[in-house]
Amino acid sequence: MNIYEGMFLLDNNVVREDWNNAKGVATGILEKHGANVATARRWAERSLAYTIKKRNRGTYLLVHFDADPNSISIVRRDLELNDTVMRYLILTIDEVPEGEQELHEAELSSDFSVPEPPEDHVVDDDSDEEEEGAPREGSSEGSSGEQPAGEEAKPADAEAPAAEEAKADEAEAPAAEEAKADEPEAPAAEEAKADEPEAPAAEEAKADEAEAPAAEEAKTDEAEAPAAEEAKTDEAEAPAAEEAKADEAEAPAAEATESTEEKPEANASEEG
Amino acid sequence: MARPVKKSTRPCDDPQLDYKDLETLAKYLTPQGQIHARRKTGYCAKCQRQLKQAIKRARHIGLLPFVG
Repeated sequence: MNIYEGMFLLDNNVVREDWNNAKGVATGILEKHGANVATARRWAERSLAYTIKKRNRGTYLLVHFDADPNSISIVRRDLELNDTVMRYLILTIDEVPEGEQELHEAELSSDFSVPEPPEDHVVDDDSDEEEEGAPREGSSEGSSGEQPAGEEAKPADAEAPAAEEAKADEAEAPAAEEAKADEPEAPAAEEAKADEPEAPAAEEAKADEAEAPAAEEAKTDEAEAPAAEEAKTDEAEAPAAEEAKADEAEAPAAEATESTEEKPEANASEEG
Repeated sequence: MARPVKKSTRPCDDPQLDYKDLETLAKYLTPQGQIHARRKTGYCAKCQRQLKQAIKRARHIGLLPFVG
């Protein structure tokens, strides 16, 4: 029999339901193959340095146990097949470190409660932002989650990542809002353009001849139609408006030199 | 002519590196996550192997990044 130290990375979704159940998954596999579990305690809950099985966070379980060396290979195979254990690390050690027994017993006491793991942002294959953000969080959090000194440190570990998660949520939310805001902004800007020329349109109407507006009515109507539809694509409208401007500019340019390019466009739109 | 490599005078002193001691291990990583060379860590060959082993264990279990 050798003494082993096992570190198991457990799925937060299972931990959130019941910590003892999640712990039992790992220790149950060990005991099933004849291992004698000496200590088993929650080491830390932290964000991962990189995405593992589409998870950015996980809970670490630290176990010390005695086992027959021949059974370790079977244990490893079972752990590989298990979905709750995302990663594992089994090392031989000389003796169980001091203080581990007390920490193990402290976790068994009735007043021990596992903090709720923060929400994990499941990584979508389409979004690159979350994947890039994951390693940064892990590296920045390196100092907070690594001191499993005692029970007091554990809640602190859980709180720090919670704050980071909140920041991440805030950062994501405005991004989504911006995307939404872009759509209404475009038609709003177009409306503003259409409104401004309307006022001078009445003044310019006198200067315009019958020829110019007549030819331009059809073109300006086309330009206005997508604007009324709130312009799914800004690019498609912009050139349309430019064409109208260019065409209109030619006709009044000879006669009404004072008018700008925008004004004749508005004239045509009102008349149309 | 090759520039002479300045040897560090820092002694190893049996650092007892553990994969769970991320604060210590992070000091021996570049910002990109690469392990510092011996000429930078100042470790002897034996201690450098321990450092390598500890960092690779931490990487495997998701505590330290492979890259970045």
